[in-house]
Amino acid sequence: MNWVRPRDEVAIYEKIGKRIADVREQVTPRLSQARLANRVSLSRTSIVNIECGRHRIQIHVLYDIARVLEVDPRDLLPSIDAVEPRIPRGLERDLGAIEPEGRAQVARLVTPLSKTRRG
Amino acid sequence: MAGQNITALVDEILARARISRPPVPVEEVARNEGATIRSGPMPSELSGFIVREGGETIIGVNSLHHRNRRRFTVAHEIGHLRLHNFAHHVDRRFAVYYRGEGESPLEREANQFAAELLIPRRMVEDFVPASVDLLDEVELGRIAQIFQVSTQALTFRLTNLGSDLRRASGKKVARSS
Repeated sequence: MNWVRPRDEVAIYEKIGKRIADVREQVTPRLSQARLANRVSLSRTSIVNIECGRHRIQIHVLYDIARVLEVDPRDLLPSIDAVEPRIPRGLERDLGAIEPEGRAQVARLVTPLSKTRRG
Repeated sequence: MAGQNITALVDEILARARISRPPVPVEEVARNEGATIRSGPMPSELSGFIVREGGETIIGVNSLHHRNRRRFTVAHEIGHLRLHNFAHHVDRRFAVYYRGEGESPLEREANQFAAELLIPRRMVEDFVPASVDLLDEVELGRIAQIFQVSTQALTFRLTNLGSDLRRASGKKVARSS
């Protein structure tokens, strides 16, 4: 069967934001949003917006944040499967006008099958 | 597939799994048909879907819908699996009354299958009092709970079965309590 990945930009930024927040909250001593903002010369509001995916983070800012959090920038990026799970093309077409988030929800229910099949 | 054949198919499925009492364990029936059920949140306008890939079959169910509705969705998708040769199919919110206008014949068949699977004629004969009043919402609600279907689905099923029923008087009739 032919598989496609429904594009879901929103999920990409939400997942990156969530990773940044997760890593930031694990840092010791505690790193507040305000302190992270200060270290990368952004406003706290920008960090809030990046962490909830509302702001589409630029790549150099992602590097800045990774530097402060002392992680590899790649570790802040979710896999393609995580943001855009695969879905059989026919089923994707059946979804018609369903929004990207809904398509991804359906795809997430189908994807584990393809994974177990690929071993 | 003609309605009578759907009835025969449902009877065979229930007999093979030795299911004779409500509520019909619809997920067990799905497993017997070789399907894996995946439940998860979906946009509310979607009820469920099926995908067949190689030897595997997935029934997807919208976990945000009410339990009775999810049971109906699973039954409806089993209907598609047994009656229709879909490799993939998405179901929008469908009306449980299977004579609805505007629905495709295949959707009507799947709805009829679902109604017959969840509320089999024999179980109606055994567990629904012959005296049931289709306007008595309280009693219908109580019986619907026994079958784990919506009151609406039950009402349509009983209406469609009509006076055609062979009612065993007093036998195993569901008690009011």
